[in-house]
Amino acid sequence: MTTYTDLSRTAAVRHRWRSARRDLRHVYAPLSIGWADTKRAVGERTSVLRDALVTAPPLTKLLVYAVPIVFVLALPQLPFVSAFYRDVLVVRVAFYVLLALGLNVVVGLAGLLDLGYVAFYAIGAYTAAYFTGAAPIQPPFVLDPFLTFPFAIAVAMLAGVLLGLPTLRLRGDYLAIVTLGFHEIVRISLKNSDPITNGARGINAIPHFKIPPAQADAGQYLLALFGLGALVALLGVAFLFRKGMRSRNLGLACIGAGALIAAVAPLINDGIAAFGQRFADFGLDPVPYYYLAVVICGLMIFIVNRLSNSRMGRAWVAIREDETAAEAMGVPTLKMKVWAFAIGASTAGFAGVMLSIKTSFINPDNFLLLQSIIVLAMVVFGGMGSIAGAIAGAVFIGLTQEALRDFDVIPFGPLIAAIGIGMAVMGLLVAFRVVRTKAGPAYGWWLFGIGAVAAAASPVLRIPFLRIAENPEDWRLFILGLILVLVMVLRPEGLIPSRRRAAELHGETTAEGEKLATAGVDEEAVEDRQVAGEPA
Amino acid sequence: MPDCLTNTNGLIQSFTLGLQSGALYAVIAIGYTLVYGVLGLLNFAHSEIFMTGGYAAVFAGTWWLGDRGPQTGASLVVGLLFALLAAMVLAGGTAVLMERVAYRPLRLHGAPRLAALIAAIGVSLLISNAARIRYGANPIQFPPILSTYPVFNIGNVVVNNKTLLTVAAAVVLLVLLDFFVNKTRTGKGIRAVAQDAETAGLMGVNINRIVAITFLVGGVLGGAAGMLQAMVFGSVKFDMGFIPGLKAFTAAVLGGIGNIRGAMLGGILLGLFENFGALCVPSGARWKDVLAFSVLVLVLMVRPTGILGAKVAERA
Repeated sequence: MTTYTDLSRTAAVRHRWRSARRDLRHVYAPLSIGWADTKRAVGERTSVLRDALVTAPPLTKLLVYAVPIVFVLALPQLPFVSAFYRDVLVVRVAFYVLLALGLNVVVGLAGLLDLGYVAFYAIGAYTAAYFTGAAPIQPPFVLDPFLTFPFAIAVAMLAGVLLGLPTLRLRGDYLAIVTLGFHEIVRISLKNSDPITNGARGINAIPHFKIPPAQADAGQYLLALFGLGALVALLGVAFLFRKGMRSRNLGLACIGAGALIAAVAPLINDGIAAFGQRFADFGLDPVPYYYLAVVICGLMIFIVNRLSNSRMGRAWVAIREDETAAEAMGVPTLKMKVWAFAIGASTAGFAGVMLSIKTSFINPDNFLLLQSIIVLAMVVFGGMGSIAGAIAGAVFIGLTQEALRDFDVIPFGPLIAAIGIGMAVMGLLVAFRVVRTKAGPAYGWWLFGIGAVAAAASPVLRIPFLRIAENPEDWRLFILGLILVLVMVLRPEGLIPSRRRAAELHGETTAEGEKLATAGVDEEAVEDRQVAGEPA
Repeated sequence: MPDCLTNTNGLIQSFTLGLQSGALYAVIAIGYTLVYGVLGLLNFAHSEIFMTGGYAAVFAGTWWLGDRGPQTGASLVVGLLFALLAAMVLAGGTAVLMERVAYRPLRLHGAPRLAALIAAIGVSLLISNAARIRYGANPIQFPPILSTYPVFNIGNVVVNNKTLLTVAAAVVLLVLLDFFVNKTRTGKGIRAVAQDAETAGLMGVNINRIVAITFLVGGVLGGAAGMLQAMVFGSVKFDMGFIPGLKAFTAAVLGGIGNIRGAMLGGILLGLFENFGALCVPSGARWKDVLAFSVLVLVLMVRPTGILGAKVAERA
């Protein structure tokens, strides 16, 4: 028979074990399935989709994560992606994803409006150009393009810290204008310093990335692979001599795997050799840059995701929501803000190197204020503070900006007609209660009306829109401005919001979020008390 | 002693140029400082209000006089005043519309300042590119209402009629504004809202109306500055507002943002500084903007409240 004290000790042990496990979740979360688990662990409400994903069977999980990754990797090889769009994917999308990820830390997480973000992009690009020896003044040592990364990132980071230290004491809107001023100072200085930067003409003939060719002939990996296969198979045979079902199965599996490695060895060997040849010189071909950019983006996503759930990330969010309160709670605000600035700047520097080396030509006009605003629009459109949002925003705005160039090719009239007809049909379905919505059948008639008018007007609408082809640049920026205003007025949390941010922007706390955050604790307490024999 | 300080003609030239651009900066800066004082919003789109004024003046002047220019003295005065009036009305209207459509919804559902600021950037982009789509990217000539002629000389430096007119008009506008804000009932309302919007509301000040009036006044002044700029430089362009807008903001910060007399002082000082600075730096004209923005960064680092200090210093 167990005594009262025994039970209560068991409860205490259980409680301690539980909280230890909860802490551990912070650590293993990124290794298993990423943010959904992490957010649940920190008690943040995640979306229904994410919740479903957490409890999904392993195979489903694998598919959900594998499909987009495979898609991203296969994208430049797909037949409908033309050579032009392969370039767009790199220069207009991948680089901007990187920029948006960096600005997302500064604006989205720490809430510092940095309008001079592109200045760091420029600094990264010009530093890379300088160290490859393409600039008019020679560096003390000429570097291989790959080796310019650390230097350019360090210089951009340093610039971020130097700008940040004195100015980050200022309040938000002063900061915006100071960074804007800083951007203009950098840009005009680059433009006017002919002996150093070639001025408005820019720096050209920046060398591309190169991977040194494999030393030996194509057969060098074959032997090693056969050896590996044989080793694994031998291990399997050794297992067969042990007793028990598990050993037998393991042994057979090892023999199979060894045979498989040996069988596909020639294929792998050819693959490695082809890879070496293909990427011996990146040249102007966008494909290798694309993969490099994807790897860098993946790295940044991992880093930013980890940071945003770290001590530093929580400090940033606290500063964003109320700086005075954060300061009072002992958050070293200036230090944390400088860190956010430095991380943002170094990400921009990263992207700057890629731009410099990819296009092999840079001039001050690559780094107009407008670029800063475009990146800001990406972050805002996707949802400030959300990584997925920053990526979605960058992809969407990057691609639309390019697609707008093609408006004489895309049959815009029929497109509107199709959308109009779709809306009208949906409207009718709602009006006749085939599909039920919260808004009710009257809403259906509205939808029908608007759709019908759009469809009827499409032949007329086509004409003014055709003018886009004459001056695509103007329309692009006009639409960007429209996006910024509409998103801020209608959906300030953006396309894919981070929950915390959405709650803040709507000026209310999500009741459910808090319930979920406290529920776990309450449940446990109740359970513990019950185990301990106390009345709940 | 550096050469630039012994070159008397250069100094006088810089002084007149500095006074001219400084007066314009001061008039534009009022728009920033008023709105900032009342809403705590950095109205990024103010530079586009300025641009709207310039366009309105060009079209009004062309419509009134054709391209022949005025035939009599009276038609010259009326033509100029008409262009000025058109600029002020259209710019003021744009400012009020902007507040109504973009900023008020945000204000009413209590969005954070960052959201309003981003919306302001969007509005700015929207208006300038609408002008670009409608009127093209090339500069449009200001109608030949007033030809440039010298009025008097200081040493060897010619002071022309447009410089005088710009400075005079700016001074008149600034005096009128100062009177409006300090002596009228509405002006008192503006000051009350700037000091404490909530309390002002409780005391019976109609905040929405005061905010709209603030935008109107700032817009009217911005439009007038746009007209003067168009007249002095002889043309308008869709992005004409960007640099003057940024500098006017610098001026407002220099004088202490939220402080109206500070904005006037800051404008004049900035205009003078950048022109004297340009004289002292080799190939200075190219570095003028860098000088102005360096002042901005330095002022904010050393004395963020500006020369005269802010009336709304700590608003979190």
